[in-house]
Amino acid sequence: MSDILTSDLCDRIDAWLGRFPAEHRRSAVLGALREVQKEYGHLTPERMDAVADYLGLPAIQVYEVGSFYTGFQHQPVGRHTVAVCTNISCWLRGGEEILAHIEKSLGIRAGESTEDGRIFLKSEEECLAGCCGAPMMQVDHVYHENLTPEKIDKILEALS
Amino acid sequence: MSDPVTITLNGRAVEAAAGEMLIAVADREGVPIPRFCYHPKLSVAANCRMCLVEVEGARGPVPACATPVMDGMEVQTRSEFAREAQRATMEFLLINHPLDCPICDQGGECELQDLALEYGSDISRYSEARRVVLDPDLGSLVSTDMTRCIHCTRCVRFTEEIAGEQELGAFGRGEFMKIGTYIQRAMNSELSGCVIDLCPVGALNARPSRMSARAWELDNHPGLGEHDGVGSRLSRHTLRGRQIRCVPLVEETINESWLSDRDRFSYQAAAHPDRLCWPLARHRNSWVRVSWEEALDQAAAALAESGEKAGLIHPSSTVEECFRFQQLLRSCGARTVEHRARMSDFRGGRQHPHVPTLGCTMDQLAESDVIVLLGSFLRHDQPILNYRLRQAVNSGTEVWIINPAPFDWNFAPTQEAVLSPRIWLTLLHTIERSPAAAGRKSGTRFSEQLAQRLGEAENALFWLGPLALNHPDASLLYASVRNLCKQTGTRLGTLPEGANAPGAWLTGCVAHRGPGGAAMDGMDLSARIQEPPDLWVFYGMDPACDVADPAQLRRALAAARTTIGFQSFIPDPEHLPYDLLLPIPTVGERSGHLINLEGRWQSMTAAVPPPGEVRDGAEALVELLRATGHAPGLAGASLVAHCRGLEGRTVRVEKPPRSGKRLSDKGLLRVGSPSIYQQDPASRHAHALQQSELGRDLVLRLHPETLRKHGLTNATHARLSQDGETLELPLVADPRMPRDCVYLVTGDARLGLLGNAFGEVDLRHV
Repeated sequence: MSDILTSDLCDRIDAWLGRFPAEHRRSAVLGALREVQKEYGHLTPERMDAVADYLGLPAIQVYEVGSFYTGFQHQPVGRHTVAVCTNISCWLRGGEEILAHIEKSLGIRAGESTEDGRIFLKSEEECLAGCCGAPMMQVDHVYHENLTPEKIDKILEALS
Repeated sequence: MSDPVTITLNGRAVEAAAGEMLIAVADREGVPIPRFCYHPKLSVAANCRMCLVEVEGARGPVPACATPVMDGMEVQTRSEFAREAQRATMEFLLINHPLDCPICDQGGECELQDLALEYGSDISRYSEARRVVLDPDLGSLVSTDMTRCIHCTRCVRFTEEIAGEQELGAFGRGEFMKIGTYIQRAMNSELSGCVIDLCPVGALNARPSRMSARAWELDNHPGLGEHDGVGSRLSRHTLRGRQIRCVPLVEETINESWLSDRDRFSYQAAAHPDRLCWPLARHRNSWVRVSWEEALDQAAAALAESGEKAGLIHPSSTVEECFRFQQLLRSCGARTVEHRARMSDFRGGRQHPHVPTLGCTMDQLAESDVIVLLGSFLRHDQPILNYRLRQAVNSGTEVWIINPAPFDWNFAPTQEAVLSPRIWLTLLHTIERSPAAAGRKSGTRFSEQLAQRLGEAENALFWLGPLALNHPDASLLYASVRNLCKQTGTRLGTLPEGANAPGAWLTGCVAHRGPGGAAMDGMDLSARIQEPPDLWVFYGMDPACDVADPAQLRRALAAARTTIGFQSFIPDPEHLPYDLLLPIPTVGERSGHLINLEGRWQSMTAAVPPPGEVRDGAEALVELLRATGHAPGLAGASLVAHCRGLEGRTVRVEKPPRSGKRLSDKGLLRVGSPSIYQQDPASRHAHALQQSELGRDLVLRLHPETLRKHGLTNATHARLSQDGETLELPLVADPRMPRDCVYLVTGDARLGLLGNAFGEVDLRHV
């Protein structure tokens, strides 16, 4: 336990560790980083060091994982993450217009957060495997499908 | 794995072991397959895709480095299908690679350049933006030009798998992938320079030789590592009589294909501005240049006029230099000739075997079940030996370590006991007397467990490192370990400092033994310091750094009438009162023989002529021998034959002393050995090594409780006093330190004239 890894975080990381054989602690890096990001919103070298310490790995191996996945943020971002798919199925069904609508209504570009710290609009997302409901987007790990501008406005408004 | 299979390689039937990778079979058969990421000593990554070949029945081209051979496999490495795949890979690799070969140090010896000649297209079809990568600062040894990187990850795998500590990684993904350290930090591996050899392009190069020569202009001189008992094979690259760089030669039984940074970059010492280039004589408080004739006359006269004399020689001196040194000193009646200047306990002078060894060859390390290491930071003392030990650990050898301070090992020791040197002897006695050593019941204490392992292991080895050999009770420790080894059938090895300690022993550079171990009525160094002689001769060693107790030696020197130094570098005239300095060659300029700790004789020839009027050291000693009116005898090759003949002599080994403990139990004990780049004058004068991460810090390491006892809990610095010298040094709290000790390195000129490396010290507030 440290200032960064609270006892609650440690418990959550332990749960990830429990899913793998005891000698494969490295397997829990991805899960541990997700827990830390869930707690703090984004990763920093210090937070990754804490994970490395806890798992008994060289810090560099944690940095490698943390920098590889676009799911990990390394700068402070908005509380809610909005990811719009613009891959082929969504693109054919107007995904790019959906993204443009969100950018316009929030006044930010993809990859930026709103000034009030409410919403983070991720850089263009690749296929999220929701093609049957294209165009789609993901808000905080929840899928919203068959989007229209009106539907989007409602979803965004509901975010606190 | 070992079932033989037959495959067809380019139409030829070839035998291979099942499971072997295709590329390894092709290499053995002399069939060339292009590659970047594959390296026979690293794990398979299969990420460069350059080794794609055609395998009959496979759906597409397959990477030869990651394809195990199977019986009946038909492989084409040069078919149009295979070559098309290789050409396509090359086209991708060249998309982002800059065309800066004319200003790249790798140009002319670049794997990418070589293969691009055969597989690359004249014109790139890619006209979009190319990537540019910012260069991380990896420290003073490795330069970076990361835009050239092709992401083969050899360097990453090297740091993790060979150096044993992953310092480099691959960050980001796809086009944004970068090799680096992520956060700003320099590499601090003792083997970091190997990534320069491994990098197939010009992304990682040698920083000290950056932009100083083209590869094709360099002459190539095989040589030896001149700093430790491994004797790594290497090649010194020179340009018009100047040493430019140094690379390893492949010798599987010694350094495999690796080289320590110390051996690789120490050549810089040869061009140090403080090189001693001609004989100098002291005139009042300054140096006057004199001719060799004058210098030899002056030295001969001093030798003739003086009463008692003493000579100290660095254990990295060649067999020839050691033999001539003791011959000169003993011809002139000296009773103290010694190469173990960091030692302080010379009791039982004849208890040691004739010549120190590891107790086995380096290849046999992995056959040991248990290796005990008492008193060494092997990673820094003998980097390549530590690498070989790490390989042994990976193949199942247990390593038990007893040290006075915790150390950053790059393998997991079975047990590491961090114990005050004050209780080492008690610990050894406990192990000796433990019934477990005789194979009976065992307890859970460290000593009992170790005794049991030594008792039951078929193939055990006990190593005494420099901290044990230089311990104030070294003779008692040795006696106890010798007895323990006899009881348990354990082999005993020692790890003395220097590149030629066995040679120094063989030729008689020890007070109590002459050449071939002949008994001598010598006076040991510690007795000699109590009863100072009229004349001192120092050869290749710095009396302010390379001795057990610089303060005590300084006092002994003050009593002498004459001090003669055979040196490669000009000492500070204030610091040590030499009367005469005779210039000798340094790293890369020396010819002669070195005997490594396996007992292996190796010869080296000078890669470059030394500067100015510097003469071969052994020849200079012969000249001085003549000037003193003695016949040197044994010219050139016959000297070597004579020294080789000394090896077979039977030497009487006496019973060691078993009592008379000297190390007191009172006060705060300073303990330490020289850090990695402070073990000989050449390393101290290699600029890049001194600038590197491992070369810099001087700190006091103590237990937090010890800090509290001294009222230093929140202090960052403290004043350390010993023998009248006081230094202000930064503090590091380390809960694994023994509570009665402070760890401080030795051999560093910045420490001034602090006393014995194992002495009582006083610690106060700044």
